[in-house]
Amino acid sequence: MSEVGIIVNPASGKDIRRVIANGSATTNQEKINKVVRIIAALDAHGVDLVTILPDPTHMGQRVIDEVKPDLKHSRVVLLPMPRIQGTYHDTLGATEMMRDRQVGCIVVLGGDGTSRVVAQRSGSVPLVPVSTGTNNVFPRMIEGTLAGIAAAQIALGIVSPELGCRRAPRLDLVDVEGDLVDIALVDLAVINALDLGSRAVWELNGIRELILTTASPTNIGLSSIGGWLCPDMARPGGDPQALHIEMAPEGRISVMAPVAPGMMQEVRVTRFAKFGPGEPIPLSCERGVIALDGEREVIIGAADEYSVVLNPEGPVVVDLENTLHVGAQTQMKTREEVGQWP
Amino acid sequence: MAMTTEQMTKLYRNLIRADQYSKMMHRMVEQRKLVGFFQAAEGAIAPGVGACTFLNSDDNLSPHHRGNGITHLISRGIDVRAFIAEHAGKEAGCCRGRSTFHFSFPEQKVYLTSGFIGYNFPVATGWGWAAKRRNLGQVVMNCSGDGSYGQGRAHEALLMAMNWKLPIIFLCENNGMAIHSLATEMHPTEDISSLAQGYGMPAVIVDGQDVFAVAEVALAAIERARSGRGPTFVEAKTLRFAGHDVGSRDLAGWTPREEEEYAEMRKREPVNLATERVLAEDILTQSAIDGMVREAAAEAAEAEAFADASAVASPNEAELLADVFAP
Repeated sequence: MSEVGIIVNPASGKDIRRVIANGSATTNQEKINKVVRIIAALDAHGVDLVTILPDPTHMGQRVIDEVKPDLKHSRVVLLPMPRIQGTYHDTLGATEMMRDRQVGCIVVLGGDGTSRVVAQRSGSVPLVPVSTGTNNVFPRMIEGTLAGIAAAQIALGIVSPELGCRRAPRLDLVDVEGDLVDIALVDLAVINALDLGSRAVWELNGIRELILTTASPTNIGLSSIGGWLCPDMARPGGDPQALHIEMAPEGRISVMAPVAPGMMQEVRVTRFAKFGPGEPIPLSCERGVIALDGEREVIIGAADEYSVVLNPEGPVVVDLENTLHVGAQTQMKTREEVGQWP
Repeated sequence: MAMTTEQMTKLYRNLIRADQYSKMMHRMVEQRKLVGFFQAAEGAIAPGVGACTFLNSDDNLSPHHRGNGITHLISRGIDVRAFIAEHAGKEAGCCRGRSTFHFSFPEQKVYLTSGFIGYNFPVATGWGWAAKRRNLGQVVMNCSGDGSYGQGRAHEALLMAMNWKLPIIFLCENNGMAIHSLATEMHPTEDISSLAQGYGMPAVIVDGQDVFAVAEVALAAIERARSGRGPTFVEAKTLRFAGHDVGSRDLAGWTPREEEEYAEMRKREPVNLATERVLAEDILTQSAIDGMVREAAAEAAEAEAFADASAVASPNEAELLADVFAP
């Protein structure tokens, strides 16, 4: 039986960046509409079961109410979770359950932070990260129907994981004992701040270190700094490389980058260097905060020591372009063989 | 973005003070020392403290009714003794014991607390218009709950504020309940802020149990309003640990709320959350926190003693009519 999991973050696309950077706002109704379109594609391809993360705002149930009259093949249900807390723990728990149910893939709607949480537990289950805003790098801004087609192609085995998926690298934040503290998929920033506050990062003058798994001038957010500083950095699918940037007001290298939607800022860089997998990069130990994928998450206390390691064995991600192209070619061959052109 | 140690300490101190006053008022109602309704603030003290601590002295404030406004007013430099005495119906009250909850502190630009949910919106819009015309950098902090957005006047206020780019922050303290009605049954969308988006107004959702997060968002919204870029909608998702007002049953519809729900909510008690943070982040020591709690308790006790010792307001007819604008 084929099964696809869907995780939607009800809190994504609503934080302080709506005020300080004119970030786009995504209502839960728009997320519901997007999931409905994803399910339309899954149903059309004949996926047997779709399981949705239940959340306190009942988005999953509203999706089911919306799609039920039109379903031809798929059964859509809420994931039978024992308890919903309304926090990221729901996402962690749902990912574990979906992984254990051996779903064919998980469609993740949210920002970089949502994908980061899912990637902590997804193991080898392919992810289809779909952006619900404009401030993301890891999830793609793609029409829901297309995301649904790609998810169905992978879940039904029409496109093999070897052709349609790739391992994304991740950054492992480890403590002095070498224990994993947390991960980042796109960027890890060390900030001169005392507090986690509203979590989001938008002021650059407090950032003293930045570590990136990807750097492209086509990115928005902190990773764009690397993109404008070092545009030949590894691209998705290539050999994993990370970029370590040290920043300070007196830095002699100046970079202008789109650090948030509508927000161009000049950054002063003192030093930058690429590094490869397995090489631990010690972080500066002064008091501060570590932000993972744009959200302040870890306080650096007086006695804390952390380092970062590039881990090439991050989450398995569905390559949307490859999957859709290979899927289209496969479908074309099948039609040629049976002679059923429309 | 980076809040200073001083800012965090001020927020924490105000949170402790609001907590002490709120609990004291709750007890005073039960002791029949206060008159009128009291909408206990337990569980929901962080939005008011976070949003109002860094207002300027000439900014307008329309407080929310939770805690009868104490969480918002505590940071405004009001004479809290007069606030408590007012609720006790004493002559030394800020309105000479005439108003209880419907008090005003004109010197601090707190002109009213609305008698009906949502009636503050048109007035706040007027303040916003005046602030824009005066062009002195004033802002308006308009605080209300989720229930008020069932009122048409709230929507008119959002419309006019956005059309005229008025310097108003619409703080929605969404605790998910309007007296006994669940917000999920009263609104088609779970985020009240999505209504503001319909008017093209920037809208943010913030954890209303986290006083530091609320303050950070409020500072950004205040700065936006002060610099002439118009209104912002801030939805602080918060919790209500008890009934709507002291003495009423805590019902969700016709059903008492479950014990499990209270237990779950209390895990997110705002003072505990803030205390964990300031200790973990080395902002304050336990000894400094203990000192703050002692100071806040003494301050509240002094206000209670002041109210206790004040004469009961017993105006004659002529005195009452003298206070009526259009007798």
